[in-house]
Amino acid sequence: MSGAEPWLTQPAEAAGMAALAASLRAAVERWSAVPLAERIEAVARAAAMLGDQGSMLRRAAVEGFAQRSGHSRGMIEESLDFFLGKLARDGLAAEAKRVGLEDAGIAAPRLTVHWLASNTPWAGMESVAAACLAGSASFVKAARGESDFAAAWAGALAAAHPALPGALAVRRWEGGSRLALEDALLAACDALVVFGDDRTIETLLARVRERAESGALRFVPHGHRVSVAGLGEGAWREAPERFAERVAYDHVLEDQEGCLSPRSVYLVGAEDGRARADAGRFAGAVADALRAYEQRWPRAPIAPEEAARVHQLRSVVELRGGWVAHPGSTAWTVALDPDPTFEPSPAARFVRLCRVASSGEMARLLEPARGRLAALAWSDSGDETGCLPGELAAVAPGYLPLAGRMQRPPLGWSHDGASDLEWLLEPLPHRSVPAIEETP
Amino acid sequence: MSDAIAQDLVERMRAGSFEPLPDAAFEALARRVFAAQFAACEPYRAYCGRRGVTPGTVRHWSEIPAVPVRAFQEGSLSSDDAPVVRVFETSGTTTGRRGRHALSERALALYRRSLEPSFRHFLLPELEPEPPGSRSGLLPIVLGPASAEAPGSSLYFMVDEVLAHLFATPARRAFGPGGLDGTAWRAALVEAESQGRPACLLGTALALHAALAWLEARGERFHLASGSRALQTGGMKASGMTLEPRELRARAAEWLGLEPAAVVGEYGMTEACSQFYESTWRDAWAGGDGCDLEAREAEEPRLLHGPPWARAVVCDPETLEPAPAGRTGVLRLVDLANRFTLSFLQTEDLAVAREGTQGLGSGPFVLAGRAAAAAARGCSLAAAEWGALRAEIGP
Repeated sequence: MSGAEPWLTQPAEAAGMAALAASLRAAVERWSAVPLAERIEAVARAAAMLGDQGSMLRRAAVEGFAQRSGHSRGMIEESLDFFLGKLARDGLAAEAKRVGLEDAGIAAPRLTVHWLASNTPWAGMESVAAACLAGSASFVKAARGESDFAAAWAGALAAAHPALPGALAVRRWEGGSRLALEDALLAACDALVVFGDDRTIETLLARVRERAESGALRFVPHGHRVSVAGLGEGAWREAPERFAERVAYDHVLEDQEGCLSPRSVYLVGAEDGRARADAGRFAGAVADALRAYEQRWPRAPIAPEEAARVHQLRSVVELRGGWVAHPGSTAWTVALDPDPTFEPSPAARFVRLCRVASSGEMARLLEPARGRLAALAWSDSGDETGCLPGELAAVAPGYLPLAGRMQRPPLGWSHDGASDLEWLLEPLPHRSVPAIEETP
Repeated sequence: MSDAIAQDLVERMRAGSFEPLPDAAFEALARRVFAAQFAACEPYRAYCGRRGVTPGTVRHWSEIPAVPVRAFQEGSLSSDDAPVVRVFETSGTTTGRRGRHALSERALALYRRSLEPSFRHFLLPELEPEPPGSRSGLLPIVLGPASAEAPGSSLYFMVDEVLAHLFATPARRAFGPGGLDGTAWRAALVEAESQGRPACLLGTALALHAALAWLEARGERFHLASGSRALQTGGMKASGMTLEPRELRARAAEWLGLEPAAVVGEYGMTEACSQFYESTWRDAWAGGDGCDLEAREAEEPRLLHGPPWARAVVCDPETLEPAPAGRTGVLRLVDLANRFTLSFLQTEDLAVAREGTQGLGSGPFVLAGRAAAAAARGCSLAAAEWGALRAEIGP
């Protein structure tokens, strides 16, 4: 990538940023006037372009992200292809129809700023896709040291339609390090989608509060979240190998760093004399699956601090009388923890399994995490259709996948209460999202 | 203290030597402590059993299983049948439960015995040649609560203990219900400065920061008499703010007239009776060149030194095997002063060790970070964020 591409502009000071924002706002007139079907076609074309294994954009982005994050290339490719696969024309058209994008009275922001955090490429790309679909211009503030996918995605979009290059910009800097430049940007946008921790969100909200409260700016915070899975006896006792594989897959993807990564798994079912042995069998099957994944997609190195947390929790589980399996390093862990109190396991392919007698008990244990859950997976019988027990409804977030699908949300998934597209529209459509995602 | 191991430890504490024990002597003592704790603490015995380790199978003290400090959140981990008389609690937790170091009468007595020699050695070295029971004439200024007001704080227990036994003058306490008591702080500094009397400041790094900020905000500079010094301890992070030790020392020099060597960092933890100290003040007192200290520190950070009855082993973060000197790893403490609770502790803190003269863990170390401060790498909630959330919700 060089500065020659209009979507990857060179750093600017406040005046330059204001001019860039004004140019994006002007250019979007042309893009938003493009008929919806043509916008859909362009996004789908960009996705196909980046899906091409021979694409230089793709290869550079995958390579760059793999080097910076340490994630396995194979895993990155699989996640990228899943994400791009969602952006096929028919799916986009269905989503546009679902949210009523062409309905009278629905308005989209002229300029959306996507404020990305590190190591969250897919969430940012989906947000940009939604903005394009809505007819909004996008400015992507990529995390420092990482704009591979943001730049690649913008590049693909820019190549997909002549009206798009002027309506896209990608920049990267350390958030909060260039306040005048940021203020110029924040003053010019109509929607601000923020991915980050509480502090980032609070700081940014404080800077745009007046406009957000007056309705002049749509503020869309995506704070740090955790996810949890629950398995009924039909899953962990009756089909342990199949569901162990799914649990492992959910933990392995994104090396458990995503907000949709499970950080505890509850095995629900009463004690009947065999349950203890069955739980051990299930835990062993999860360990086998993780071992195999480590061969296929080795986990990224983790910081010593995180490794210390892995060792702490392993040893604590042992002290509690639980069962722990690991390969002698921190590459993966399975801990059958006798204490079901909810706490996020370390984000290091650490599968923490806790037995509880009922879904009601699980709901009670998750109460402290209410409002912080991104996904609550539930699977029970072998028919895989799942049905969230009513007791869990009180703590359930909008996204309720099946085990094995936690990191694979469909287009239009409830991302903190609404889909990425819905978040941008005025008024917020508040359409319901299917309670349990269908397994493709 | 009717316990042979504790008696031996007390004898070593009384002896006053801070040379590391020869490895064989430490080995013998550590094995005795392990055997006693293995026999007395059922959860620890079971934990060791799962690892196939017993007092009979250990080949070297470094093989003795260390319990995670988080285990102290699980309940009482004691190697003493006697009733608990004092409980010290940690502040942060990710489970809503605080870590509890519960001490019996004799455990508390051993704690008292252990903390004085270290404090004297590193903060009041001028007392060491004096007869036992000698007290310092420094004016103590405490930037925190009395132990009675913070009964769960091991730090302020330690502070009150050294005040009671090592200082001749009652402390001036610059602390009130809302934190720093600025009026009392100024009064104490005026008293020390006007009398030309050296002072000894005691508190956390954050308390020292707040006290300096109070002076900075008012533009009030003091120049404490030569020989004044400050103990600062605890984490350097709070409320999104990170304190740089060098910066803190520079501010202490500017606003209090303390030379850099006189600001002594201490590392301790609620779950351990022993403390580790920077040796800068002692080195300067013993004839080292304190003036060049800042220049030296530009090259390397300060080292923390422990007492002979404790060792600090830096472990490989992946395997927990002892790491070579110079490599960053996870800190394991062996604190034999924890005779009546558990002595073999796997911390979450990161450190870099220096080669010791008496084998593994006998050298000093540099603290390199804390696991609780680990940042999220993706969009998932980090442990520290969850801990803060749990603190808001309560247990």
